[in-house]
Amino acid sequence: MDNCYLDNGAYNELLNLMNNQHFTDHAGSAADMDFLSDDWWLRDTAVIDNVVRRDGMWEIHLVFAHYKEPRKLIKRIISRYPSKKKAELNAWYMKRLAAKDQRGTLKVDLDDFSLCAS
Amino acid sequence: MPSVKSTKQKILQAALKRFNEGGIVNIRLQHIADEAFVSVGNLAYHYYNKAAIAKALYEELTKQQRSLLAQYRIVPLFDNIDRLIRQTFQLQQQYVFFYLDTLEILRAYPEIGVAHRKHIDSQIAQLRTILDFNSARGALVPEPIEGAFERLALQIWMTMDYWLNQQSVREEKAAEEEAYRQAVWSLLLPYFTQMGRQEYEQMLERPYDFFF
Amino acid sequence: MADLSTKQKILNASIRLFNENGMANVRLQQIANDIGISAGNLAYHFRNKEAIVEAINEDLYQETSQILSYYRLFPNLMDFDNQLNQYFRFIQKYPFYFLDLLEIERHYPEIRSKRQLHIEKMISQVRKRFDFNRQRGLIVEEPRPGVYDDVANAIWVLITFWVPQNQVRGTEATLKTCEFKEMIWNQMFPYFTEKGIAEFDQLIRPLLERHSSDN
Repeated sequence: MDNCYLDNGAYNELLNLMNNQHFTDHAGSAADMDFLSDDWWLRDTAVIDNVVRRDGMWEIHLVFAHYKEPRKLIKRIISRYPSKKKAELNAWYMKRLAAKDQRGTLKVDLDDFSLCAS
Repeated sequence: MPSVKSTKQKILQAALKRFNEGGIVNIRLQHIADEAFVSVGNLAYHYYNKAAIAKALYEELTKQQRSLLAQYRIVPLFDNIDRLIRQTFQLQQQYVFFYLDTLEILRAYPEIGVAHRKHIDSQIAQLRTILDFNSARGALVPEPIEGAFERLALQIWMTMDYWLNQQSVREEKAAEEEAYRQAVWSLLLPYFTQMGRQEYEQMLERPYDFFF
Repeated sequence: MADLSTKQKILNASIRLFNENGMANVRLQQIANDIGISAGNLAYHFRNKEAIVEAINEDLYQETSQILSYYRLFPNLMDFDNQLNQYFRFIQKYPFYFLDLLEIERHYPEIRSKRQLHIEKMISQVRKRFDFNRQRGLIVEEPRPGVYDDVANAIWVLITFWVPQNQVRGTEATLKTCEFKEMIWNQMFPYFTEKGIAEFDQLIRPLLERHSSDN
């Protein structure tokens, strides 16, 4: 504790960064927030969270994938954060929230799909 | 043969000097007698003990404070407020020991404690009157929320009375009158009306002669 | 309570006695009497008063560090209110830390130097809260350079001298969260924009009213 003392200038910079984070965090675009009209199949989807880096920000993508039908999936950009850790944490929460099945028993298993390797 | 009054005065001055240097707790009557070039017996003839000296000094201090406030009771314009701030600062510099050791003094001399409480209440009430007056004449805005001026008066008093403590806690030994002034004015600043702002700017641009 | 270690009991009793009588006026024997152990037993845990003070100082430092970490947990004014609650809890728990300033300066320089580490950070945080809320549109532009530094400083003065000034004035306000918080919000209030007042009315005022009906 004692040997990692921040001097005042550095501390002020740190506070600035923390303040700025509030303004740089973004929600996804409006299109990503639209309701789907034909959404019955979403009940049988597994939610996969994905954090990717783009334009210097960490974006949270949620992929809703049908557990039997490989072609049925949608990807949504939920929000973007300047901090990777924060993005990962939020992605985890959002995945928990978005999954219809809270216990997480719906899993997408590669073997369920008869994908052609060649 | 010096008169009785001047011996008393000499003792008080000596006591004040030693208290300011060493803190009231650490000073004994002998120290004060040495400083005043009188015998302890002679000193005890005028002041029975340290409590009596402390009380006499306290009365001297409050007498001066009361006369400062009384001067500005009638028309406390910004210039007058500023002068009050500066003179209060000067007075504190003279009685450092009291401000730094207030609690210890009140613990040791309950009689002073009682008087001091009354004194503070009247000081805060005076500040409150000054705020109301300036709000009524349109230099300050009306109270934005209920109780704002009461809290402001308390805050002004606190800022002034705990200035020396603040300096000592923050290890800023320089006794800067400018910083003191600014600390007090900055509390009033957000309440200025257009007129108040002008008056304040004017005061900063063309400072009056303090010693006039 | 039964499973508190003797060490912790000694520290708790010392803090209480320091608060009641002032650091200078507390003897080891008194502390031992207070928790009903022998002076010898106490000496086994703490060699002398300095050792006790040193242990308490460590707690003081940890707790103030903890309070400083209450920054930007909420995205609005609640953040400051939340931190003020922590400050208030702290000054209620350790009045002597604020009352015995001179005693600390004269005899316990290590408390003083640890306090120094946090003072500037406390003030910087309040200052940055002004920046943050100005960016959010809740607070007006600084009316003249340096004003918000002064206000941040004034808020620090309020926190630090809250206990001493109440004791000197002989008021009971030391115990009241609402008066403490109202005094501090009163510093920020005149700088609020309309949006700021709206958020204050919505989030903070109900809390202050709830506290005042508690007391």
